[in-house]
Amino acid sequence: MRRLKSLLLAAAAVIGFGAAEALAQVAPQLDTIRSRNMFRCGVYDSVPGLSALDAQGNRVGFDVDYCRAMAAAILGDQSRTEFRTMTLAQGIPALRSGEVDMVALALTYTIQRDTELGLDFVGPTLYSGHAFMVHRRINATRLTDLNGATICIVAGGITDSLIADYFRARNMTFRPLAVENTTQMYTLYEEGRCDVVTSEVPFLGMRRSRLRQPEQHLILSEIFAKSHMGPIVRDDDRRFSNVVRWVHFALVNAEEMGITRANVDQMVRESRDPAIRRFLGVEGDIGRNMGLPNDFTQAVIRAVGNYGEIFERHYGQQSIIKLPRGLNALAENGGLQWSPTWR
Amino acid sequence: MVADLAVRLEALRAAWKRPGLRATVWQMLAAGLVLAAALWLWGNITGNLTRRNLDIDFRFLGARASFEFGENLVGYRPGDTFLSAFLAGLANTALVAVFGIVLTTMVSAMLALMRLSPNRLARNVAWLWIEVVRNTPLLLQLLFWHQLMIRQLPGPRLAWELLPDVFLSNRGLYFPAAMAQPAFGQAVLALLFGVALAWGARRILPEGKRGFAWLAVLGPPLLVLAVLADPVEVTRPALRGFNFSGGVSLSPEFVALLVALVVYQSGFMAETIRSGILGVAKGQNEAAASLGLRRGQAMRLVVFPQALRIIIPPVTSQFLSLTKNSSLAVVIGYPDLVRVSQVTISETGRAVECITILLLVYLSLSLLTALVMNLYNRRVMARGGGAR
Repeated sequence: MRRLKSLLLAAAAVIGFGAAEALAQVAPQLDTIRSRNMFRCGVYDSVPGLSALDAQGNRVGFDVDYCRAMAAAILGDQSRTEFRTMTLAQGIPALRSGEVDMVALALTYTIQRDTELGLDFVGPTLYSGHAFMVHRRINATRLTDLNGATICIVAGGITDSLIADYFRARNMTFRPLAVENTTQMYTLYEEGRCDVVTSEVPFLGMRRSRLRQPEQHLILSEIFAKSHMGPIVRDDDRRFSNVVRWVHFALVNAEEMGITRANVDQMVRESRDPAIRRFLGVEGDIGRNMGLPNDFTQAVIRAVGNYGEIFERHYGQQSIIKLPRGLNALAENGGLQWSPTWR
Repeated sequence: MVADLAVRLEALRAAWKRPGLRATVWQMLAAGLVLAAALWLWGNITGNLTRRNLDIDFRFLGARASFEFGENLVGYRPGDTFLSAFLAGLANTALVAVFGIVLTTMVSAMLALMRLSPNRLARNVAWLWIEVVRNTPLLLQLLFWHQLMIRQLPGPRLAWELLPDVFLSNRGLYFPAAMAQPAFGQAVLALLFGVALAWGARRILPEGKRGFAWLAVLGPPLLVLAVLADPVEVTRPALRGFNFSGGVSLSPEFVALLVALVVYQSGFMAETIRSGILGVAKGQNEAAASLGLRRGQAMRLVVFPQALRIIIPPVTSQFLSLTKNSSLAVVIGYPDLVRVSQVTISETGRAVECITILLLVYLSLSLLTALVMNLYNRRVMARGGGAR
């Protein structure tokens, strides 16, 4: 009898709790992050260049740095980042359900994701395109040579739809083999289960360098679809969307102004340039009006450096693949990266 | 006044002691609890959905899906609707489930008989098989079979030609296919007619000669074939470009999934069958022997029919778990229902709807299997009185 009573009480409590939870309104995302003092970020488990563990067990990568930059901007400490590893297919549902604050899985910026799925894109932080890598032994050099090929792709992205569109328009066919994650995909490709593997150019280069015989594989120079990628957030909190978008612009702006991780402290102390002083939060109250510490840009640059530094670390000269800046150079150097005016 | 109350209390206590009332009260309480839990769940889901500005809407099923799905039975092509993509996924899931159930039944029956065999080699081989497959995770076995095929088999250009026009490579097994022509339907009808004829003939023919009745099966189809042109056209696989085209193919993913499911599930099922056979009273075997039946006959005619009664209920649940386990296919890239829902979620963002569809489909597949097995169980139970 007593047991039953306690059971009833528990049930009542659960029902009451559920009702209370349903009534609660969504707190502003910035407050939620500050109250848990942790920025939750969805990243890949192991995609070299984007997000992977280094020899010391630290999570490193281009997307990882964007997560750390957000934590530095909002919480003032890049180490307050909690990484949730996920597959491509899990990213958008995890973000929409509120499991993470931001998803950095190098998702391609598409109109549908922006307008129908309720997402806001940051950046694009990386401009590139989808290309194919093939085994040299199959003697394919052009896209039209790929008719009838078996193509390995990662499930849950838009790559298969892009290829399907491209091939359908040219009366070509292919067999997709969709797997869960990129590691598995490249393994199957290397073992010859697929003739072709596809991804964005820098990621293909990164992976080719890790294959057993990199010279046996050819990355076709033609790009069959553009892919401009970036982290995403939900679009239901304008203030938070502004913060993440402007953290990206801060990284680019810092590069435009020549502010680096090494000289940021000196700049704060010595710069007489009002534009730089405003950007670094020494003057004015741009940061404060965004709901951030006024010097959030300093914290971001101290944590990860400017955009160019992040790029060089993970894709450029300091990485294995030594990707040229290309489209990702600053606009003043002929690329596509730029920041709106900081005032 | 006080006495009055005491009387009423007494009456209440007496009523409480009647089991009917008490049972009703408790059952209503329990039902109330279940209802409350369901309501809470519903409130939680709808509350959270509105909080996140999500809604439930299945209209996306009519929209065009643009992804390539690979081999499928229903002929889905990019540009068809999401609904037909789901049907294609369902067909692939059902294909593995049906083949898996049939093969598992055969393999596990064999394993069970080996386990019970007086031959030590057969007994120990079966024992080893069962212990290994039952005690390692299915996912691991699945990856093992898949890797084995991909790594050990040659590429399409060096494919092994097992039989004329039958090629095995790491792209799968390719064999010639008979494509149905118009005459095919008539031939099938003739075959059905032949079966009916044989059925009738069996009733007329005397005992002992009934076997000949089955000859009647062949008559009508042969007649049709003689009159009409080729009912089927054979297409042969040939190496074109990257791969074979023509014929029919089984992908390594399909084969790996099928093998993994059959090997894994047969380990469990063999033990169920063995326990069913051992569950039949020993006297039945001895009685059969004393009637002069051989070992095989005793098993087939006396022991097995009785064992079926013990076997079928647990085997039903093993068929169900085989069907559900087939959803692991997504790990090796076999395009099943789960794969369709993954793509659909990423293209439309309709995660709740897709998961609901998945749940409903697996639920109805399971209920269907259970229904068929229960009907069969009823038949087995109804047949013959109790030997025990």
